Amino acid sequence: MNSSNAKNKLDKQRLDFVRFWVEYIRKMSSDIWSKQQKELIDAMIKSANQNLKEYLRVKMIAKKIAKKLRDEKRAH
Amino acid sequence: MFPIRITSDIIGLNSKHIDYSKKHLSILDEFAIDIASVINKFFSYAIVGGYVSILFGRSRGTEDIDFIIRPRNALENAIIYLFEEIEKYNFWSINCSNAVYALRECIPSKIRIRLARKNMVIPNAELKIAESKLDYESIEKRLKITINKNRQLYIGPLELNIAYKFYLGSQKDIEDAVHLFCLFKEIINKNAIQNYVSQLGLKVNINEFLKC
Repeated sequence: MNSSNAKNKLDKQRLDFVRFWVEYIRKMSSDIWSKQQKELIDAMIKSANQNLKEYLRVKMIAKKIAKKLRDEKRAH
Repeated sequence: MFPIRITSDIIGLNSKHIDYSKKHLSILDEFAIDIASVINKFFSYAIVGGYVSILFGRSRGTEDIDFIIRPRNALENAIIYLFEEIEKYNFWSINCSNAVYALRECIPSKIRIRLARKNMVIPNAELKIAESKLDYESIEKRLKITINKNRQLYIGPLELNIAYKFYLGSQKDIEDAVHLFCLFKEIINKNAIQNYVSQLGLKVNINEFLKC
Protein backbone atom coordinates (compact mmCIF):
# COMPACT_ATOMS: atom_id res chain seq x y z
CA MET A 1 0.00 0.00 0.00
CA ASN A 2 1.29 3.48 -0.77
CA SER A 3 -0.32 6.74 0.26
CA SER A 4 -1.91 7.71 -3.05
CA ASN A 5 -3.45 4.28 -3.70
CA ALA A 6 -4.82 4.10 -0.20
CA LYS A 7 -6.27 7.59 -0.42
CA ASN A 8 -8.03 6.81 -3.70
CA LYS A 9 -9.81 3.74 -2.44
CA LEU A 10 -10.91 5.12 0.93
CA ASP A 11 -14.43 6.37 1.51
CA LYS A 12 -13.93 9.82 3.02
CA GLN A 13 -17.49 10.09 4.35
CA ARG A 14 -17.07 6.92 6.38
CA LEU A 15 -13.79 8.21 7.79
CA ASP A 16 -15.50 11.48 8.67
CA PHE A 17 -18.15 9.53 10.56
CA VAL A 18 -15.42 7.72 12.52
CA ARG A 19 -13.94 11.10 13.49
CA PHE A 20 -17.41 12.39 14.45
CA TRP A 21 -18.06 9.31 16.61
CA VAL A 22 -14.69 9.62 18.38
CA GLU A 23 -15.47 13.24 19.23
CA TYR A 24 -18.84 12.06 20.59
CA ILE A 25 -17.10 9.47 22.78
CA ARG A 26 -14.60 12.05 24.00
CA LYS A 27 -17.37 14.44 24.99
CA MET A 28 -20.06 12.12 26.34
CA SER A 29 -20.06 9.83 29.35
CA SER A 30 -19.74 6.11 28.62
CA ASP A 31 -23.16 5.79 30.20
CA ILE A 32 -24.53 7.23 26.96
CA TRP A 33 -22.30 5.95 24.17
CA SER A 34 -21.52 2.49 25.52
CA LYS A 35 -25.24 1.73 25.75
CA GLN A 36 -25.55 2.37 22.01
CA GLN A 37 -22.44 0.32 21.27
CA LYS A 38 -23.64 -2.57 23.45
CA GLU A 39 -26.99 -2.68 21.67
CA LEU A 40 -25.27 -2.83 18.28
CA ILE A 41 -22.75 -5.53 19.24
CA ASP A 42 -25.12 -7.67 21.29
CA ALA A 43 -27.66 -7.66 18.47
CA MET A 44 -24.97 -8.71 16.00
CA ILE A 45 -23.82 -11.61 18.17
CA LYS A 46 -27.32 -12.74 19.07
CA SER A 47 -28.29 -12.87 15.41
CA ALA A 48 -25.02 -14.47 14.23
CA ASN A 49 -25.10 -17.87 12.59
CA GLN A 50 -23.45 -20.23 15.09
CA ASN A 51 -22.88 -22.99 12.54
CA LEU A 52 -19.34 -24.23 13.19
CA LYS A 53 -18.74 -25.98 9.86
CA GLU A 54 -19.83 -22.98 7.87
CA TYR A 55 -17.86 -20.55 10.03
CA LEU A 56 -14.59 -22.47 9.69
CA ARG A 57 -15.13 -22.95 5.94
CA VAL A 58 -15.57 -19.19 5.41
CA LYS A 59 -12.50 -18.47 7.56
CA MET A 60 -10.40 -20.90 5.55
CA ILE A 61 -11.48 -19.44 2.20
CA ALA A 62 -10.92 -15.87 3.45
CA LYS A 63 -7.43 -16.81 4.67
CA LYS A 64 -6.51 -18.22 1.26
CA ILE A 65 -7.80 -15.15 -0.55
CA ALA A 66 -5.98 -12.79 1.83
CA LYS A 67 -2.72 -14.71 1.33
CA LYS A 68 -3.13 -14.61 -2.46
CA LEU A 69 -3.75 -10.84 -2.37
CA ARG A 70 -0.72 -10.29 -0.13
CA ASP A 71 1.48 -12.37 -2.45
CA GLU A 72 0.25 -10.41 -5.46
CA LYS A 73 0.93 -7.13 -3.68
CA ARG A 74 4.48 -8.26 -2.84
CA ALA A 75 5.07 -9.35 -6.44
CA HIS A 76 4.25 -5.85 -7.66
CA MET B 1 2.53 13.99 31.28
CA PHE B 2 0.88 11.22 33.35
CA PRO B 3 -1.66 10.81 34.80
CA ILE B 4 -3.67 12.24 31.92
CA ARG B 5 -7.42 12.34 31.46
CA ILE B 6 -8.33 11.25 27.92
CA THR B 7 -12.12 11.36 28.40
CA SER B 8 -14.39 11.43 31.43
CA ASP B 9 -14.07 7.62 31.49
CA ILE B 10 -10.49 6.99 30.35
CA ILE B 11 -7.40 7.99 32.32
CA GLY B 12 -3.83 7.23 31.30
CA LEU B 13 -2.27 6.42 34.68
CA ASN B 14 1.18 5.95 33.18
CA SER B 15 2.64 4.90 29.83
CA LYS B 16 1.66 1.25 30.47
CA HIS B 17 -1.60 1.48 32.36
CA ILE B 18 -5.02 2.88 31.45
CA ASP B 19 -7.94 3.15 33.84
CA TYR B 20 -11.23 2.75 32.01
CA SER B 21 -14.83 3.01 33.19
CA LYS B 22 -17.19 1.50 30.66
CA LYS B 23 -20.72 1.60 31.95
CA HIS B 24 -22.28 -0.90 29.53
CA LEU B 25 -20.12 -3.91 28.65
CA SER B 26 -21.22 -5.78 25.53
CA ILE B 27 -21.32 -9.56 25.12
CA LEU B 28 -18.00 -9.16 23.29
CA ASP B 29 -16.40 -7.25 26.18
CA GLU B 30 -17.59 -9.81 28.73
CA PHE B 31 -16.25 -12.63 26.56
CA ALA B 32 -12.88 -10.90 26.08
CA ILE B 33 -12.44 -10.30 29.82
CA ASP B 34 -13.51 -13.82 30.81
CA ILE B 35 -11.40 -15.70 28.26
CA ALA B 36 -8.40 -13.43 28.88
CA SER B 37 -8.48 -14.26 32.59
CA VAL B 38 -8.16 -17.97 31.72
CA ILE B 39 -5.43 -17.44 29.10
CA ASN B 40 -3.52 -15.21 31.52
CA LYS B 41 -2.96 -18.12 33.92
CA PHE B 42 -0.61 -19.85 31.50
CA PHE B 43 0.40 -17.26 28.93
CA SER B 44 1.49 -13.65 28.73
CA TYR B 45 -0.80 -12.14 26.16
CA ALA B 46 -1.65 -9.00 24.26
CA ILE B 47 -4.92 -8.38 22.45
CA VAL B 48 -4.35 -6.84 19.04
CA GLY B 49 -6.48 -6.06 15.99
CA GLY B 50 -10.01 -4.79 15.64
CA TYR B 51 -11.20 -5.56 19.14
CA VAL B 52 -8.82 -2.96 20.60
CA SER B 53 -10.76 -0.25 18.75
CA ILE B 54 -14.08 -1.83 19.69
CA LEU B 55 -13.13 -2.02 23.37
CA PHE B 56 -12.66 1.74 23.20
CA GLY B 57 -15.98 2.48 21.58
CA ARG B 58 -15.64 1.92 17.85
CA SER B 59 -19.14 1.50 16.44
CA ARG B 60 -18.79 -1.96 14.95
CA GLY B 61 -18.76 -5.59 15.99
CA THR B 62 -16.41 -8.48 15.26
CA GLU B 63 -16.56 -12.25 15.29
CA ASP B 64 -13.14 -12.83 16.75
CA ILE B 65 -10.65 -11.32 19.15
CA ASP B 66 -6.97 -11.67 18.28
CA PHE B 67 -4.61 -12.69 21.07
CA ILE B 68 -0.84 -12.94 20.73
CA ILE B 69 0.35 -15.35 23.41
CA ARG B 70 3.67 -16.40 24.92
CA PRO B 71 3.73 -19.38 27.32
CA ARG B 72 4.83 -18.56 30.86
CA ASN B 73 6.61 -21.94 31.03
CA ALA B 74 6.96 -24.83 28.58
CA LEU B 75 4.51 -24.53 25.69
CA GLU B 76 3.33 -28.14 26.02
CA ASN B 77 2.38 -27.73 29.67
CA ALA B 78 0.75 -24.36 29.04
CA ILE B 79 -1.47 -25.87 26.34
CA ILE B 80 -2.41 -28.88 28.49
CA TYR B 81 -3.34 -26.68 31.46
CA LEU B 82 -5.19 -24.24 29.21
CA PHE B 83 -7.40 -26.98 27.82
CA GLU B 84 -8.14 -28.26 31.33
CA GLU B 85 -9.03 -24.78 32.47
CA ILE B 86 -11.27 -23.83 29.54
CA GLU B 87 -13.34 -26.93 30.27
CA LYS B 88 -13.83 -25.77 33.87
CA TYR B 89 -15.02 -22.34 32.77
CA ASN B 90 -17.39 -23.56 30.06
CA PHE B 91 -15.33 -22.67 27.02
CA TRP B 92 -14.30 -24.97 24.18
CA SER B 93 -11.97 -24.90 21.23
CA ILE B 94 -13.96 -24.76 18.02
CA ASN B 95 -11.11 -25.98 15.80
CA CYS B 96 -8.61 -27.91 17.95
CA SER B 97 -10.65 -30.35 19.99
CA ASN B 98 -8.17 -31.16 22.76
CA ALA B 99 -4.65 -30.44 24.00
CA VAL B 100 -3.04 -33.42 22.27
CA TYR B 101 -4.61 -32.50 18.92
CA ALA B 102 -3.61 -28.86 19.43
CA LEU B 103 0.01 -29.82 20.14
CA ARG B 104 0.33 -32.46 17.39
CA GLU B 105 -1.73 -30.95 14.61
CA CYS B 106 -2.75 -27.33 15.10
CA ILE B 107 0.42 -25.72 16.41
CA PRO B 108 2.90 -27.44 14.03
CA SER B 109 0.61 -26.46 11.09
CA LYS B 110 0.36 -22.91 12.42
CA ILE B 111 -3.39 -23.28 12.86
CA ARG B 112 -4.43 -20.79 15.53
CA ILE B 113 -6.47 -22.24 18.38
CA ARG B 114 -9.92 -20.65 18.57
CA LEU B 115 -11.81 -20.59 21.87
CA ALA B 116 -15.47 -19.79 22.38
CA ARG B 117 -18.11 -20.23 25.06
CA LYS B 118 -19.62 -23.73 25.01
CA ASN B 119 -22.34 -24.20 22.39
CA MET B 120 -21.25 -21.02 20.65
CA VAL B 121 -18.91 -20.22 17.76
CA ILE B 122 -19.16 -16.43 17.75
CA PRO B 123 -17.51 -14.59 19.36
CA ASN B 124 -14.25 -16.48 19.63
CA ALA B 125 -10.67 -15.79 20.68
CA GLU B 126 -7.99 -16.57 18.10
CA LEU B 127 -4.67 -17.43 19.77
CA LYS B 128 -1.48 -16.72 17.84
CA ILE B 129 1.70 -17.99 19.44
CA ALA B 130 4.28 -15.19 19.28
CA GLU B 131 6.91 -15.81 16.63
CA SER B 132 7.94 -12.55 14.96
CA LYS B 133 9.85 -9.65 16.50
CA LEU B 134 6.72 -7.50 16.42
CA ASP B 135 4.66 -10.25 18.09
CA TYR B 136 7.10 -10.27 21.01
CA GLU B 137 7.10 -6.49 21.08
CA SER B 138 3.29 -6.51 21.31
CA ILE B 139 3.59 -8.51 24.53
CA GLU B 140 6.65 -6.77 25.97
CA LYS B 141 5.20 -3.29 25.44
CA ARG B 142 1.60 -4.19 26.20
CA LEU B 143 -0.74 -1.85 28.06
CA LYS B 144 -2.73 -2.91 31.07
CA ILE B 145 -6.34 -1.79 30.90
CA THR B 146 -8.18 -1.80 34.21
CA ILE B 147 -11.87 -1.87 33.43
CA ASN B 148 -14.43 -0.71 35.97
CA LYS B 149 -11.82 -0.91 38.77
CA ASN B 150 -11.59 -4.70 39.09
CA ARG B 151 -11.26 -6.34 35.66
CA GLN B 152 -8.20 -6.43 33.44
CA LEU B 153 -7.17 -6.79 29.83
CA TYR B 154 -3.78 -6.35 28.20
CA ILE B 155 -3.56 -4.83 24.73
CA GLY B 156 -0.62 -4.42 22.37
CA PRO B 157 0.91 -0.93 22.13
CA LEU B 158 -1.48 1.53 20.49
CA GLU B 159 1.17 2.66 17.99
CA LEU B 160 1.79 -0.90 16.77
CA ASN B 161 -1.94 -1.60 16.56
CA ILE B 162 -2.39 1.50 14.40
CA ALA B 163 0.59 0.68 12.19
CA TYR B 164 -0.62 -2.87 11.66
CA LYS B 165 -4.00 -1.55 10.60
CA PHE B 166 -2.21 0.38 7.84
CA TYR B 167 -0.48 -2.85 6.86
CA LEU B 168 -3.87 -4.58 6.49
CA GLY B 169 -5.12 -1.54 4.62
CA SER B 170 -8.87 -2.12 4.13
CA GLN B 171 -11.41 0.65 4.73
CA LYS B 172 -12.42 -0.97 8.03
CA ASP B 173 -8.79 -1.20 9.16
CA ILE B 174 -7.99 2.43 8.37
CA GLU B 175 -11.16 3.43 10.23
CA ASP B 176 -9.98 1.42 13.26
CA ALA B 177 -6.60 3.19 13.06
CA VAL B 178 -8.20 6.64 12.86
CA HIS B 179 -10.53 5.81 15.77
CA LEU B 180 -7.65 4.78 18.05
CA PHE B 181 -5.46 7.66 17.00
CA CYS B 182 -8.12 10.32 17.49
CA LEU B 183 -9.23 8.91 20.84
CA PHE B 184 -5.71 8.65 22.25
CA LYS B 185 -4.06 11.52 20.38
CA GLU B 186 -2.65 13.01 23.59
CA ILE B 187 -0.60 9.94 24.45
CA ILE B 188 0.19 8.45 21.04
CA ASN B 189 3.68 8.78 19.62
CA LYS B 190 3.34 9.46 15.88
CA ASN B 191 7.02 8.79 15.24
CA ALA B 192 6.63 5.32 16.75
CA ILE B 193 3.72 4.62 14.39
CA GLN B 194 5.78 5.76 11.40
CA ASN B 195 8.66 3.57 12.59
CA TYR B 196 6.40 0.50 12.88
CA VAL B 197 4.88 1.27 9.49
CA SER B 198 8.38 1.22 7.99
CA GLN B 199 9.21 -2.03 9.80
CA LEU B 200 6.12 -3.53 8.20
CA GLY B 201 7.53 -2.60 4.80
CA LEU B 202 5.01 0.11 3.92
CA LYS B 203 5.66 3.38 2.15
CA VAL B 204 2.84 5.33 3.73
CA ASN B 205 2.96 8.84 5.09
CA ILE B 206 0.68 8.38 8.10
CA ASN B 207 0.13 12.13 8.42
CA GLU B 208 -2.12 11.95 5.36
CA PHE B 209 -4.58 9.75 7.27
CA LEU B 210 -4.09 10.40 10.96
CA LYS B 211 -6.03 13.64 11.18
CA CYS B 212 -8.80 14.19 13.68
